[in-house]
Amino acid sequence: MSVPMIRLSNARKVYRLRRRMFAPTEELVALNNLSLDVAEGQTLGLVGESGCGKSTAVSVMLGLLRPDAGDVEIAGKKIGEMAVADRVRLIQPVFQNPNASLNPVKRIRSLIAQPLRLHGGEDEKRNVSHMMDLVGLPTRLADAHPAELSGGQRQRAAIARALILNPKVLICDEPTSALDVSVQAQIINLLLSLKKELGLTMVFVSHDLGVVEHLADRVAVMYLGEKIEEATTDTLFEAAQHPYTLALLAASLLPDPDIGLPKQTLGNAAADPFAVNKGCLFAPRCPIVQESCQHVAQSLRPVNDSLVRCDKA
Amino acid sequence: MIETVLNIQNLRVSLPTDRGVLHAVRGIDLEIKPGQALCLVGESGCGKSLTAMSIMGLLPRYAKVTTDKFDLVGQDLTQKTQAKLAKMRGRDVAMIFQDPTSALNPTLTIGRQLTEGVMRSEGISRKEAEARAIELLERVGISNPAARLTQYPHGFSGGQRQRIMIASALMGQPRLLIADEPTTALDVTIQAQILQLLGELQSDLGLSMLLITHDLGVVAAIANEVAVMYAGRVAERGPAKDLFADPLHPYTRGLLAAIPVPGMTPRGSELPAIPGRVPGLIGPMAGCAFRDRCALSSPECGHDPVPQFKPGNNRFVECLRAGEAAP
Repeated sequence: MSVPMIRLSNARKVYRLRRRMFAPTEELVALNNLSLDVAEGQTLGLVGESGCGKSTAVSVMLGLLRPDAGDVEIAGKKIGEMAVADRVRLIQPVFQNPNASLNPVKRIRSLIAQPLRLHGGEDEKRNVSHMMDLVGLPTRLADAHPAELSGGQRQRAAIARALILNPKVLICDEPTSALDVSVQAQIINLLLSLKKELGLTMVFVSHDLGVVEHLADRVAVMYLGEKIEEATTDTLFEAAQHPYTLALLAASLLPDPDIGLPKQTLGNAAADPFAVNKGCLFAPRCPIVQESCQHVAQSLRPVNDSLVRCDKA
Repeated sequence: MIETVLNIQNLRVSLPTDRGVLHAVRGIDLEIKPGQALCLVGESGCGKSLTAMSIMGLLPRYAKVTTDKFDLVGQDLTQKTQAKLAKMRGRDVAMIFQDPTSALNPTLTIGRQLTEGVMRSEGISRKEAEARAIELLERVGISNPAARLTQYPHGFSGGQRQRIMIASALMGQPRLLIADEPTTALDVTIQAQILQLLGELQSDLGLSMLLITHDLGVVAAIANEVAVMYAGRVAERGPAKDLFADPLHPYTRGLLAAIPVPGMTPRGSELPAIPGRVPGLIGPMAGCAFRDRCALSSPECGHDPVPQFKPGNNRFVECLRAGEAAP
């Protein structure tokens, strides 16, 4: 097997934070020995609730945050040892909110061309109109400001900017969450066709399981900094193993009134990222928790076709 | 027994802007029966939140609101003065918002925020108000409520804060609860719990609800009745089951088709997206607002008035070609 396009090996990131002013600093383990492999041309869906470390994982992959331990390799090269100029030609992000990620006083043309100007590239004008074509933005908008575009068009511009240096990897952090349903479908279609056309490797971070199921080849589920389950999309949606994955699936809402209110088996306790727990991090909310879960740390083990961090699954 | 908790006919909201008058809500009718949950669903800018705000009387003074009929729990609100409206607010109708973190005052204890309103509006003592607050906090699933009255909002998680907001809305024992995107800021597992709680309150207390959301999954989970809004009009309305099973308006059909459903939508297939974008609402508008994005549109769709149909079973649709299959 060839080298995976993205490889995280035991990446660990700890933040030292104060919960209140003057309180002593505490350690918050945002990523706990996260390992992920994404093969070239594949899409990995990364799901989990707020505070589970998705965004830290994204920053670590993009080389924007240095992990405290472990390695991140993109196309076989360690990202920490890469020059910025090489890194940005390999891996680019698309963020959730195009209103925040596009500078409102610049014109669309200049926003899309910015990576070219920073990192060198020839024939800016031709390149920009090519990119606008590729993402389905009418070229007449080249001289518009972001405020004149709709939300979907702004996200298209953000995608064009991410792709102008021809990266091999696109990291999408909730790219459709700020969009309306009808526009979300347009952006999903765009990402699907780009993936096919350009052979992009993608990491797709989302809390919307329906969207992840549609786009991803594999799915990794995170909980409080740990990967708790990973499987192919088929396996995960048909035979999820971890009680947290099952709870996520049960809680996701489908447009079908016959299903009624979602079944929710988790306790009212919220996930506490500061909690120092010898055993399973999910134990306080787990519907199938047993005495041993409180003090036996769980490790990933294969169950059927999944990797699952639970010995009761 | 009153027949409707809320009955609005021909609600119009317009806002002056630098570029002309923005007609945000362009004549909608809403009716909620006791104990029913009506969902207003639509995309950003369709006027769903302004509709809710106008029911609460929370719109800024420059907003122009007109109605032909505006009955709340059997009282005609068009005849009420501002002071009387303020009194009804919180007592007959209460509202919760999307983001519980910004809706709660971070510098006041939960107890103070829950009791302040009813102590003033009902003139009851702090002790009585606190007793009610404790009872309601318990009801919405906050453990050890008596001790938690003295805590500040930062001591609670997002889901707990939304529970507290719901308890606070229930303090005045309202007949109608308006919830504007109550679960949008929450994680999915917490969203499920809050929806469950709202469902229980509806059945246990006979609470009527007006739920505003953009998420058709939320609508399917909790709504009895659905009104789909587009560009300030109700495009389609009906019982949730019928509307999802057999959407009549091309916009409703488009919305439902655009959502990928695991196990139903083939993975990686192109989703039938609705092309184009929502029209601007400044200035006069003729004909159907959806016609530029509609696969079925014909020149007649630009004519006023757009035909309305009532195909039985409490359904309503405003479209010349309602129910026709896409080409």
